[in-house]
Amino acid sequence: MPREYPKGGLKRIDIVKWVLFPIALIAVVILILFPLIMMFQGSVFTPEGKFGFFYFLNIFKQKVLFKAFRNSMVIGVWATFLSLLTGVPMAWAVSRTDIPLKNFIRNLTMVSMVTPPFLGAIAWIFLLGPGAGKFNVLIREVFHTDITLFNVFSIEGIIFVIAMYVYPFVFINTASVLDNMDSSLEDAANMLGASKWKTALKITLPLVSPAIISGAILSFLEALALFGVPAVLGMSRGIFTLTTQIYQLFHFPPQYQQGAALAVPLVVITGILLMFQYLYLGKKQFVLISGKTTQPTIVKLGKAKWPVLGYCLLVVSLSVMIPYFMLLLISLNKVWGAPLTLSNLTLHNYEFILFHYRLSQKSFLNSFFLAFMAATIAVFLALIVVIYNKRTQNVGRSFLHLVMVLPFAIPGVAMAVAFLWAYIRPPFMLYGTIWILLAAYIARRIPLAYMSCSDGVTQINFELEESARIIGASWFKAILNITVPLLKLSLISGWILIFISSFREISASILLYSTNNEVIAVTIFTLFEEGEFEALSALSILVLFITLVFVAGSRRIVGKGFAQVS
Amino acid sequence: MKLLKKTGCLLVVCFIVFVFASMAHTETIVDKAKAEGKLIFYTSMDSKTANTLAENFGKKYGITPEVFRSGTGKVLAKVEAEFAAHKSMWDVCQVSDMAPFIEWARKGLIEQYKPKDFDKFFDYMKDKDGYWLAVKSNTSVIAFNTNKIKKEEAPKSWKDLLNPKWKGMISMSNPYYAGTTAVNIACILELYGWDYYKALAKNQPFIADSHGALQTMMISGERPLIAEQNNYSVLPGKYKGQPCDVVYAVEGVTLSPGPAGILKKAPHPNAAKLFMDYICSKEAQEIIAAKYYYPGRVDVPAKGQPSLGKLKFLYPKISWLIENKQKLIDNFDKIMGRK
Repeated sequence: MPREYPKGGLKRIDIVKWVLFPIALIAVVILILFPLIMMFQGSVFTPEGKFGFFYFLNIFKQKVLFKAFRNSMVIGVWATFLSLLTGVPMAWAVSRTDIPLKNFIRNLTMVSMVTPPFLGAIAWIFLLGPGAGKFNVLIREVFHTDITLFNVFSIEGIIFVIAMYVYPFVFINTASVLDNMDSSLEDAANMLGASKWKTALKITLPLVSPAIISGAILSFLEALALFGVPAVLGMSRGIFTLTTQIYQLFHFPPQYQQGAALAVPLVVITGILLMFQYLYLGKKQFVLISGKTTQPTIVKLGKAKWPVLGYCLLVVSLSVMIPYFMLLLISLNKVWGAPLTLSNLTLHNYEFILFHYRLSQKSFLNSFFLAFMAATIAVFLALIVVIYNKRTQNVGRSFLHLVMVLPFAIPGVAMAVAFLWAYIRPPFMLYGTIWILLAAYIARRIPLAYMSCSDGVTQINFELEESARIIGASWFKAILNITVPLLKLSLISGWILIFISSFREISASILLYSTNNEVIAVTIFTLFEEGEFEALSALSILVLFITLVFVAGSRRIVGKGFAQVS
Repeated sequence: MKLLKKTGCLLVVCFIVFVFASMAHTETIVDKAKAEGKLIFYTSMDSKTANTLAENFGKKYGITPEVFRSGTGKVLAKVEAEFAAHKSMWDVCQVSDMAPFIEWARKGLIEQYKPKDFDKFFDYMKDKDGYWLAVKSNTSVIAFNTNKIKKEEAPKSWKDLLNPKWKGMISMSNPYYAGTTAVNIACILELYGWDYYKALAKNQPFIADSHGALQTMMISGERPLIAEQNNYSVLPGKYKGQPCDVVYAVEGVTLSPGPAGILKKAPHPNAAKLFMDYICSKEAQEIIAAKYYYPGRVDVPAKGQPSLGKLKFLYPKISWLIENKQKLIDNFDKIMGRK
């Protein structure tokens, strides 16, 4: 509970009040609100300054724009459906049944969540490309036919690949509720003679449905916001989504206004769904978890556990093991498509990426720098705003809260459009420098730090600061010496989450980068465009390796719960 | 005799003075360039060639150009965006499309500069006023995977690509990204009109952004037939022993000169001039030829491919292309279901 401080204390917090608060508040407004306002403004004014909604109407009038809109929806809905089909049974299996390898499945689902989906997409080209994809070749060889069974360069291919990387949202949401849920209702059903399957379907499922829906919403939004997968798999066959169409619109001659207008539906849909999740599901979900520490009842599946386990293993194989293995294989191969013999194996691709390719060296440095700075600044700003919101009674707190969580509702490409629009001219001419990327990364990921800090502060007993104040510490000192150390874990986990997601950021970077400011994902995309698939695989393996090391390290520091928030 | 000696001495002195004078001239350009210390080079050449040129230039003059490398379309988009924002960052730009350079020269956006060896370049490879000059040129050929398609069955002409038996096997680049593709399309349009591309669309071509990607997909067997490949993208593979070969279409091969020029009021004007001199030098042109481009110089022979004089060419109407490039891209995208 925020409280009023005695008048005498005010002088002592001057440094916070007059320096840190204003800086943080101005930064937040410039970083988040200003670009968004500019984007909305850009979408309703022509370059000549005429007001109107024609750019929005174009979405329905121009066939190509409407097709992109429709494709996005189709992909989003089907990918979400597949996520439910995989995430829910898997969550139930690892949380409530006696199948073996539960931790293995949980961990690999985590890995799938931190895997950049566009790397998965590239790996799936090696597997399901109609001409040289390994699966297709294998089928032709085994059955001596000419048929092509799978074509990853299709809308189905995009849906499949996206589903493999967004199902963790459903899985993690569902599993965390199942893990913590009071199982007395299920026990009652069992005692009354319901079968295991009937209990699962009639009792457990309805109880976790809010969590499932909330996971499904996140999956849908992620599927809608992804740029890399449809770019890699769709554009070459003329399949565009909202995100890739926006990218296309920024080609020469760039159509900024139309791009901005196309980004607006993404923001609006995301906003509405998140609002729904927050207002409706958020409340319902918490009623269910009683907070009692009873162990959930484990269902003994008997022989049925083998097909269930098989299903789980299939999903993690398709999302992680097979694609990773394929990337590794290609990264060690001289030429994609050459037979896999010892003489075709080489470390040359790694050597090239690490020592001879300036773009990759530069982009490694840039990405490290940006991820480090973005994480640090975002955590710092978030901390100040959280203190402002939770420990003062100043005006505008709920407004600030809204601004801080707003970026959740802005897909990367839309964010990039906003930034491009806002920072290409005075007063903030950042375009063409690395700072526009930094600003975009901070703005995109600040909600992660904010949520993590905010949860932390809420849990800290206010009396601790109070007692420090009573024995004479200033308000600022009390916060610095009491609150911040107690928040350490929240701060670290926020920092790491931002670092990981910024390190491999593609959707915003692809529109905002410039010469010498290339980041890793841009380099991977460039290698893809140029057809250097072997070098690309080597770089991907390095990126995946670094990401996994970070995740593993942070789980050490912060505990297993880390990164279970989205 | 004395007179002869005197004249001889005078001549020698003159020569020495001349040499020193010209050295002093280059010295100053080199010094000024070094003082600028930096050079930004936008190009659509493949990264390896661009980097080799940049590194060699760096070794010679102590300035290693910063290279931005992408397809012609992306380079142009960047240049135009910078023009629009009045914030041009490049010194030297090179793409595979003459049209924008002609436009920029007309609008006074690029600098007039005749590099040292200007006279050594083919006439149709340069602007007579010295606004730009093509440091290399590409030809567009048909390329195929020899493991998947037998040489005698491979298409012989652009028209052969329309045969339904190639359905799902063809790839090509797109005219937005690749300057050479735009030129190639312009030439084929003159022969066959848009009906050609409507028919080609039925063969469901895979449309990649760069010719490098087409090559990778062709060698792997993913898309064994490339409807229009750059000579320099396919020939290195062929001579390295990869399963691929080239067809020079009977209707004629398209030629895309790749002009380079200096930005007006470039941030590093002297370094830019020095770099233009360098890429026009015999040394640089030989590097370019070794990468299977056609060099722009008369005195550097092409490598591993028939010399320009031995090929039948289709020439694009540049004035038409300048006016209609955007329309061409839009139409192509529409026909290929991309728009």
